[in-house]
Amino acid sequence: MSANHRDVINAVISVLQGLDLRSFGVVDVVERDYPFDAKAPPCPAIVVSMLTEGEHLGLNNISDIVYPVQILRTGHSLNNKGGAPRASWRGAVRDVFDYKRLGLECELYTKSRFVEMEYDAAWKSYNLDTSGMVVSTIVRKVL
Amino acid sequence: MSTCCNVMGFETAMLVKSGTGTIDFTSGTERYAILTEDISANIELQGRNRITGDRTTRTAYMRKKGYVVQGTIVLQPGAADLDAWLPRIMGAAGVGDVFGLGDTWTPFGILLYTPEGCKVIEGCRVNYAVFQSAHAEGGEGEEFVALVLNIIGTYYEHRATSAAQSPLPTLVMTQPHLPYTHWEGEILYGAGPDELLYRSFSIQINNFLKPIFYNGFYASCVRSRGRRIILQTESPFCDDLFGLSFDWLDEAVEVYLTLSRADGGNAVNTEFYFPAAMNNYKSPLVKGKDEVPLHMMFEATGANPNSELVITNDATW
Repeated sequence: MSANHRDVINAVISVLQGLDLRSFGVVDVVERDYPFDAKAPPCPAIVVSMLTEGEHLGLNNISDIVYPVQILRTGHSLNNKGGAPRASWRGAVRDVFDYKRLGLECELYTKSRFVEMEYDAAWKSYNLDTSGMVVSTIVRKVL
Repeated sequence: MSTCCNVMGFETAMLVKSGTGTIDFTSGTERYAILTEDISANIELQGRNRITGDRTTRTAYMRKKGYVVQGTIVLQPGAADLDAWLPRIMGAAGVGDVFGLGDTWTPFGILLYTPEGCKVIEGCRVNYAVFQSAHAEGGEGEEFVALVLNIIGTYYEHRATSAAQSPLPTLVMTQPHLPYTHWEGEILYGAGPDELLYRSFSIQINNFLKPIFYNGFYASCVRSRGRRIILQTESPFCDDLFGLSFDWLDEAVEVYLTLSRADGGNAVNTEFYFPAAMNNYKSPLVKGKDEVPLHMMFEATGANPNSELVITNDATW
């Protein structure tokens, strides 16, 4: 049975929890739906959210599905005490996911890419410093 | 008359089975997913230069010419799939995981199942095979190693679909059947060895097969007229490599291309070993402001036919 989006997000959380989170200025990894509702996301934290699936090129009888997961680091200010610079956490997270495999069934590979360095909406709505990454796992599924 | 004319590619299943003559696809078939297939039967008419017949009896001097069945299949094989394909490509059965070159191309049959009818091709042999990678810059581009198989067959038939004729085994999608990716490849050269960085590579194994028609309509056999094996690479241009590529013009070099798919403690590997390869030198070209690539084409020149290329395929997960 091929892995699904739930398996991917669980694997991503598991990998993140194995990192030195304190060096990113956070202590916890939490999952939240995105976009955030009226309530502010947890802070400081690594916030993991499911993004919309996509379809990769496939063969006949086979679909390759892309399962993207957004990873945000939230902090109270840009220069919070003990917090790593934005570039530092993004680089560390990229390294553990880019061109890697998460050990999932029928996983082709996992890639990571940088997205927003600063989410204006988070800053304006919740007074949070938020920067992000997106990790995408491509899974092969038999039709 | 059927009212159904909406058969789609995703409904097609490709079954393969080794054997000569008429193939029984009711059991023991291998099933593959494919990117494309264009195998076709091409039957030409031949107008003979003779004095019999006239404008009203043209059939008196027209007849069927040769019956050529040929085409290409493109798939993304995993190491487990290669265990079945390498003997058909290399012309010899493997010994354990090691596949050397030979001259007995195992014939096989292909059945392309659709809900509205089957294409059956028999007496198939691999004319040439190309393993190719491509680097997709940015995005989620296609980066899987593809295998292009040019097939020559001796018989082609359209057949009404019947489950009894072609039961479809489940498509196997365990880890050793998943494809290698472009970036999992590694090319090493020389005794050191040193690593050759590349943007893309392709390995072409051309068996130069030719269907032989004596006086008949169907090919009586398929023969090989020779063999050529080349490894092509596109690398970022650098001075060291530039010099080496010229040196290798008349000096055979050992080259290894290894594909490896790892997941935790498990891995599958396919290694292409060229004991002696010479470079067909091509100087780099400057194209506008873009980067300057260095193209190399290693020609396999082993001392005897059995040592031009050795493939080790470890599909144990």
